[in-house]
Amino acid sequence: MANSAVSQSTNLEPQFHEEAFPWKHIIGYVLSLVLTGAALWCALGYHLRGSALIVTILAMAVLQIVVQLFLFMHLTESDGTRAHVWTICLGFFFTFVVVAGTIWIMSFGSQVA
Amino acid sequence: MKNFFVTGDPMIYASDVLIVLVLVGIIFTLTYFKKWGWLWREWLTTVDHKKIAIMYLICAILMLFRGGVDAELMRTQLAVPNNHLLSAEHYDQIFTTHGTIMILFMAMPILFAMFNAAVPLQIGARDVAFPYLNAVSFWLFFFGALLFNISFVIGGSPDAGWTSYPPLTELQFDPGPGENYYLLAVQISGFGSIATGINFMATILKMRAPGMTLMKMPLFCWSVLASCIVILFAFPALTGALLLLTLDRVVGTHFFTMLAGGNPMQFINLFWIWGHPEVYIVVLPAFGIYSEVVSTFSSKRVFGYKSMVFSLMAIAVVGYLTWVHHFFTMGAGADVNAFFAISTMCVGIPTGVKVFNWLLTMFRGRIRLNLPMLWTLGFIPNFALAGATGVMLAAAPGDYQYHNSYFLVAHFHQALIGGVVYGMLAGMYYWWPKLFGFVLDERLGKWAFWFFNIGFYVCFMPQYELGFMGMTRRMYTYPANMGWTTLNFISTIGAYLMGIGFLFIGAQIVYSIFRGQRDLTGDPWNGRTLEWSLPSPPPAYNFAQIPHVQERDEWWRIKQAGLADAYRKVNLNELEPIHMPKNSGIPFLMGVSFFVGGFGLVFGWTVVAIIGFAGVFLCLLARSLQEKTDYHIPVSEVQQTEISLGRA
Amino acid sequence: MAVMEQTLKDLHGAGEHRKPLEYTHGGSVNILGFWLFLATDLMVFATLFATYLILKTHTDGGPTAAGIFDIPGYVAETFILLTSSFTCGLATYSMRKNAKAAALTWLAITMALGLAFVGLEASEFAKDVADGATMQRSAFLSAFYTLVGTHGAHVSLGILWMASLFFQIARRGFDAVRARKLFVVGLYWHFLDIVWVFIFTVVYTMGVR
Ligand code: HEM
Ligand SMILES: [Cu+2]
Repeated sequence: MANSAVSQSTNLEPQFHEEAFPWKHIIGYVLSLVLTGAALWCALGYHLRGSALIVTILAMAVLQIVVQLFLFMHLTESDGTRAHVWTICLGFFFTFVVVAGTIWIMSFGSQVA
Repeated sequence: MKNFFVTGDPMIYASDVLIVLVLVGIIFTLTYFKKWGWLWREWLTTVDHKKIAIMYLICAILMLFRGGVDAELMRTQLAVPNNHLLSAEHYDQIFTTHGTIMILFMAMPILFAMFNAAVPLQIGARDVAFPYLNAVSFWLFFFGALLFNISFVIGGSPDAGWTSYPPLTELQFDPGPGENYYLLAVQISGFGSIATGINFMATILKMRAPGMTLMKMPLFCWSVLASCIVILFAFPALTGALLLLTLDRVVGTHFFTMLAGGNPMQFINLFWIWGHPEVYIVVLPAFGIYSEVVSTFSSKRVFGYKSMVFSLMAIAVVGYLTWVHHFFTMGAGADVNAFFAISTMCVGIPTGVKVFNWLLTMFRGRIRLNLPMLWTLGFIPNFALAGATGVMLAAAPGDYQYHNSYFLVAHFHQALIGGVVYGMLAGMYYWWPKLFGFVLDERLGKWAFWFFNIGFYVCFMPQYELGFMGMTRRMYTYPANMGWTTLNFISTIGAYLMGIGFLFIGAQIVYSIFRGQRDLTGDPWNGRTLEWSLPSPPPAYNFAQIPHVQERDEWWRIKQAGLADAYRKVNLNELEPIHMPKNSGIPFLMGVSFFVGGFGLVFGWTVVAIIGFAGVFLCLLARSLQEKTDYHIPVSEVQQTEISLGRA
Repeated sequence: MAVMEQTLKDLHGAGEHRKPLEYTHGGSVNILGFWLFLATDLMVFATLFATYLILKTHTDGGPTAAGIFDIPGYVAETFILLTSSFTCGLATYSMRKNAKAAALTWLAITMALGLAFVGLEASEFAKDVADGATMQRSAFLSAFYTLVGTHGAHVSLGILWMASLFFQIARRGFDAVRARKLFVVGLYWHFLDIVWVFIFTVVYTMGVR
């Protein structure tokens, strides 16, 4: 342990139990394709309109985040998970605050402009 | 090239001469004493958090001086009506540079000086999580500040206020390099601030000594954590706002212009999404310092630790949700204004909790009135007033009356000086012996405190009244028949008193370098937290052995148990080689590259800009390809160091 | 800030051997640092999205969203980027199995897809500009090019970063540091995919409807 990464292990030991076949990644990929396709179907196929459309495709975008975070980005594995989850949750919270807050605040401004 | 150097003003010529003299003096001294190598090895390439703290501190004090001179010039101009010491144009430049420098190039670095000085020592770590990145942050700040500060002799200062609102700051209304300086200098140092935020968050979350759970952490570390959270989520809004305004000016886009559908209000919105949280970024660590100081100098545990932690976090999050109170008068609608008025007032609640906790900590304590405590006591009435006037401004309909008047000027100085500057000075006095190995002279320090504190009230109390009398901010002069003359004159006297206070601080530092009492114990204040268990100044690796922490005020516990002397002794046979990061010149070079790139953009010299940013890229690449970025201090060397420190 | 520091000895190192290599030897500190960075980058995009949403109707009588967005083009870009996120994930997966050749192959495929994405985007921009839809034309176009262009610049930077890493790994194989670097560049890439999904949804798909 006192030795640094640089001096140790030029070879990767099989230290971690990855699945034998990358099922998680494949499921993630298929899900992301399906979600994208579904959003396009709703929008470009004119199957939904107005706020129903907006809510639906936003919801699918959010599901895509979930796919990326859990199936690709290994959000909840190994150490430091709690901090990672907090970071990303706060990130989404403040993103929401900035975007929604701006729309709310500036909608009056744009009527004037 | 004709307008490259600013000409025509005797004050500027005097500064030119002064700058050249200082530069020549520095170069001569370094060459004469053969110190160039030393400067490079020990400082410019260092990644040691203690040295970085010292560099931040020196820069911050210099910037306080620069901003202070700006302030005194403005107050001199306003002392009497119809004054023409400064022209309108010059006054505009001065309040702009004063505000920008005080917030971004004085408050931020002095804050980071405190982070660097105390956090790793308090949590029992050998350095921050990313020491190299820490150096990058410093040099980005440094070269950002340099870029900003040369504006007044090369090309001309920005002059549209520290808030830099469009459309006034669009090219059409404000040609010339001044605004570009503002945008790029603040942007560059802003990158550094974001990196510092990331760095200290990772440090606090990951580098704590074994046994130090979050709830055993000193409150200062908690306050740094809270401040870093706000940096992380607020600073990018500034990055965005500055980027878009830069694009408007340099590329000709239409984000905030009056033409082609631009909307200047969006800049104001983005600016304050950062701007208000910025207030908490700088004040939360000051709260942390007050907590440390109050408990140390009352010789008591801090009262209500958990509620302190909770209120820090609450302020960080709720404080983010209040930004519209800076532009109630934009008229975003009654619902918007009502929401943000209420959220603003809500921040007062956790803040009040903290004030009562400090008071209760002092209650029945054995209070010692050393300098850190003096500034802390000075802070409390100051902040009570700042809070009271803040709530007045937060009442949206009331704000339509006070907005952009001298009432506001008085309010934010009360918060920024009484809250932040007092706190940072308290922190400076408190940790100075840890950083430098000697205590700052108390007698001169008391003079400084009383001049500054009395001067403060003399300067700013009249301004509340002036605000009620209708005097608006950013006025360069006023007619004699407004009835404002007496109060303005008094205010200027106060500003001079504060200036004298500052000079006393300078004198105190110089005097103490030669005569100050040396700190041989490492624990001059009878402290409670781990930094005081180390020698002053601590060795490069801080802790020869990483401590195992049992309690909140760990060092106090050890002392109470009578184990202090034993604790200070290191068992030479148990030492292990210490893993440390290597020094690196890349952060400095990266700063230089940013400077060159920024300078090129300021004047629209594409080639220079490209060279500069290519340099940045090369620095990143060079770092990525570097293999050995760390080394081990051998046991023998650690043993020697510990013996020479009298710790074996 | 792509610079992440090799850190001091990991003090919380118990059970080191049960963790993936990239989390060992202080790597977990860097990985946390990178998540924190991603949060700040997310906020930069938040400001750009907010600005776009405010300005998207401010076309000043010039080109509109529905007028210039090319449906097959952005759909293709989307599927390319989604696929690259998948292949990038496989690079990390192979790294964890210590399959150097496979990891390098997936990395190369990811870079190629990234280049295709950037190329398509650039040609889309070039076509619009040639039609007079420049970023100086209106507030809407300023906001559009800046938001989408910032994402594109991130992707380009990611490609360069991967290229540098490709050579480092090809020459020296995996150790804790290079494993961590590959993992981190993967996080960056997936993050850009998330941002794109929102550009796809909020800018393009809502724009053409
Ligand atoms: C010696 C103490 C100080 C004095 C006498 C002083 C005085 C002034 C004066 C006269 C103005 C211009 C008011 C106007 O014309 O509208 C001003 C503005 C300002 N000051 Fe100070 N100041 C002091 C310290 C500070 C400190 C420590 C900070 C921040 C940490 C600060 C932040 C600002 C800001 C942000 C502005 C607004 C600039 C603008 O309008 O764009 N000041 N100050
Ligand atoms: Cu505010």
